[in-house]
Amino acid sequence: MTGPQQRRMGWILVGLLVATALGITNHILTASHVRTPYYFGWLLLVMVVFLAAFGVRKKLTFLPPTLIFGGNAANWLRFHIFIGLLSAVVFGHHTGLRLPTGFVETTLAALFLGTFLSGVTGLILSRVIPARLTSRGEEVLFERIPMFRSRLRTEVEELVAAAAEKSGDSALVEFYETHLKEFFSGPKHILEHLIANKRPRRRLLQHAQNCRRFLNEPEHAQLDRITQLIQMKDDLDFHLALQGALKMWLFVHLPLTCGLLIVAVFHLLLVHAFT
Amino acid sequence: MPETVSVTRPQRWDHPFSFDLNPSSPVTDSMIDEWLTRPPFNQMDESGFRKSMSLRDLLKNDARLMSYQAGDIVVRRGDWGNSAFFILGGNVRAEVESAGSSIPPSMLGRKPNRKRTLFESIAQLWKNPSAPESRSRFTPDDSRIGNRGQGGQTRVFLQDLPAVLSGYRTEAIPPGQWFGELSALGRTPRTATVFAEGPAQLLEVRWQGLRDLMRFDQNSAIRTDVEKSFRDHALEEFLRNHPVFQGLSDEKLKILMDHAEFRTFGEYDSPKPFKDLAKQGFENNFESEALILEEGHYPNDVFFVRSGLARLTVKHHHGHRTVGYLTPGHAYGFHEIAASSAGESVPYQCSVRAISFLSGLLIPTPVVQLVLLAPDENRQSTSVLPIVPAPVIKGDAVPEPLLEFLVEERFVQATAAMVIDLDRCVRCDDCVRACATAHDGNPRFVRHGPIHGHHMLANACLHCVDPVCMVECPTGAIHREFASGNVVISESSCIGCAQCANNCPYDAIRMVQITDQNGQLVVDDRIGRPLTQATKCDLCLDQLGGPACQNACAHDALRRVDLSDVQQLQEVFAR
Ligand code: HEM
Repeated sequence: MTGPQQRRMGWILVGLLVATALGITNHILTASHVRTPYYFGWLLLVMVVFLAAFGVRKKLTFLPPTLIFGGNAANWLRFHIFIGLLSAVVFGHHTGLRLPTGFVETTLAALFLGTFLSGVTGLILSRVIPARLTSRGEEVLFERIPMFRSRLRTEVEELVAAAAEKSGDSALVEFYETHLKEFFSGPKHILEHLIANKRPRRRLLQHAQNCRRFLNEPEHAQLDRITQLIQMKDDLDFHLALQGALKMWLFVHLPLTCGLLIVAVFHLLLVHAFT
Repeated sequence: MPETVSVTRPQRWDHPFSFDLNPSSPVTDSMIDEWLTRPPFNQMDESGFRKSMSLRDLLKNDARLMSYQAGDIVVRRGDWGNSAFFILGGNVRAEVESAGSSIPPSMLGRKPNRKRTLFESIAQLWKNPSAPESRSRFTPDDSRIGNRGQGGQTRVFLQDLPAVLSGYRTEAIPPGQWFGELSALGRTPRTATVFAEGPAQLLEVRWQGLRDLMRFDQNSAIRTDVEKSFRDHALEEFLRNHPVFQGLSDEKLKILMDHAEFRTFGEYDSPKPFKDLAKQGFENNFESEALILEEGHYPNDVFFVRSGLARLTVKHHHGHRTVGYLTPGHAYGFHEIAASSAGESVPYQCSVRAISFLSGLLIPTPVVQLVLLAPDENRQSTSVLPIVPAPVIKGDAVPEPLLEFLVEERFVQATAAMVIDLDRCVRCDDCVRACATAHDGNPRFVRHGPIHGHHMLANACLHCVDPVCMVECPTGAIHREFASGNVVISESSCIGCAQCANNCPYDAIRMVQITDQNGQLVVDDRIGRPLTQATKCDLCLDQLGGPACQNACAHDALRRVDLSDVQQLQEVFAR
């Protein structure tokens, strides 16, 4: 086992131990008629506040790692994932796994589960997508994708126009109008890229191949370049889809966190007001 | 077929040295006539000089006349120079190191070394200016110095010369003497600050010129002096500071000093051709790398690198494989000599080749055996070997193509390369944002750069072992910070000449137009153009937490790596 694998096993073992300890505590407290949901509720709130604090800590990159609440972001994320996963166990003990009743409780439970599940999804995405991105196309900054896309589009349009003018034939223009115009006009096949479906790319390349029969010799060279441009545009879409997914999930996770914090405080006030 | 780029290899004298500074004042024949009437030039035997490279040619192209006024700083301690100075006339003084009182860094135009307080750190969140590249001051931080002149001819001068003369220990260097020759030839930092006490005329000779003056002059008019000076100063300092020689008696050090040979290998005319070559690709370069020690040969010497880079190669079928590299302080040949001393006959296991320019020491085997490997009551003879571990990278710890890439592209000279593992990086740019927060809202790198496999070497300053960016900075604004060794730029002394940005082979220095605190572009009133300054990564020198980019990476994808440390290299690239 390598160093990082050993470390991961360590985290899992400690997590399992803590989860078991929480289960035993719940059992003992319930058996001795203590208000278990009350204590687990407080524990859950502390955990959620700690989890949400990660968002603040991410902005304070200049704090010395030795300072409390310092530490680098990588260590914070390790704790975040650890506490985040454990929070589901505490949530289970807090609610007793009963379906919530009432508007506030239902909203709160939905917010918690939404935040939790978006976190787990984000974690999976951030472990899977980077290597896929590295494996295909050129590394490109997300913000620059539209600029590169429009460059490709201009190039392909100029190429087709020049070819038509030179040969006086419209085969390439027709091919462009039928199969490529739409493709080059903006981001395409985002969903397919997310699920690693290469069919649209293959189909376009196939169309290009079919078109070759109708072209003369000089036009072949132009078609070769167009084929390259199709692949480059498809790679750009691929990067847009995958880098976009890496950004988008946080736009779910973060607002849900804010909602969760607000409703949790409201829930706390209600509980204290009525007991 | 891959596209090829054709470049004309720059010729040595495309740009005479005097042109670099001011094309309108070249070295004239009458100047040369005058110089040739004085020693050491009139003592030289010209018969050894080539026809195409006569003594006159050398002086015309590799030398320039420099005039200084009272107080002008000529070189600063710690500067990276590639030229030597010969005093034609006038009063020049050098600061003599004395414990406790040396000219403070701020008086040399350097950045004050101060960490932010905790409150100042947090206040960056709301205090950072909204305008890009905003500066609050445009004059040196220290009022005891001022600037005169323009561009590359800018001189920093000491405002209160008498106070410097009475406050610090200085020594006059008389006309007819050289200074700066050792750091120019060895590409090591200047060891003393030199300034003009009154009007002074100096002949500045770039290192290639000095080397050739020494090489071709049959009378050794300069060579003898330079070699003596090297043995008296640089060699002793190197030996005393290197861990391998610790604890040696003075007698043994003397034997070493008498026998060690100082050598330079390879060409390093300017980093600019390297920049062109980097674009062109390095395929043809291997053959041109100077061979220092050859695999399979009897180990005649141990080789120590003083400056520059060397690669270790072994023969592989009809070619060569790179198996490691040497950076300053590293040595090669000990293990073979130790084995030979133990009775086995072991030839050099690798070849050592200089990558571009390199300077180093050769210590003959009998001296190594006598001084370093023989029993010594102050030292354990065997203790030398662990101090100089063979810098060969073992097994598959770093894949060979990756190692080749790091050596070819000279990344191995990085002490803080920004290595991003793209299989972990979620492209969130938190690193760039953190960098911006730590630098008044301006990021000091772009998440972009050469990629090998799944590792990107981003275009952030590498903080090179041999920082060519520092060569020829007229105000000393770009410098190595004493305590940390980081290469930093002092905003208050940068005059925007772009020398460093042009020199940097990695495009890690960016020239930016600066604004004042109201966001207005600042215009240089002397030339009527917007003022620019050089900017680059400073490893968050003034931040409490160290490099913000690394601290901000939640996925542990970004690391700042000292590639001269083989251990770190293996750890990072084996992930
Ligand atoms: C249930 C309560 C949770 C809360 C309140 C919460 C809150 C947050 C916050 C505030 C951030 C910082 C977002 C930003 O500013 O960029 C964050 C990031 C993140 N969270 Fe959670 N989280 C929770 C659970 C989880 C769980 C269960 C996981 C995974 C198992 C998780 C994984 C992550 C990851 C991977 C990041 C992004 C790190 C990055 O790429 O910078 N979270 N979370």
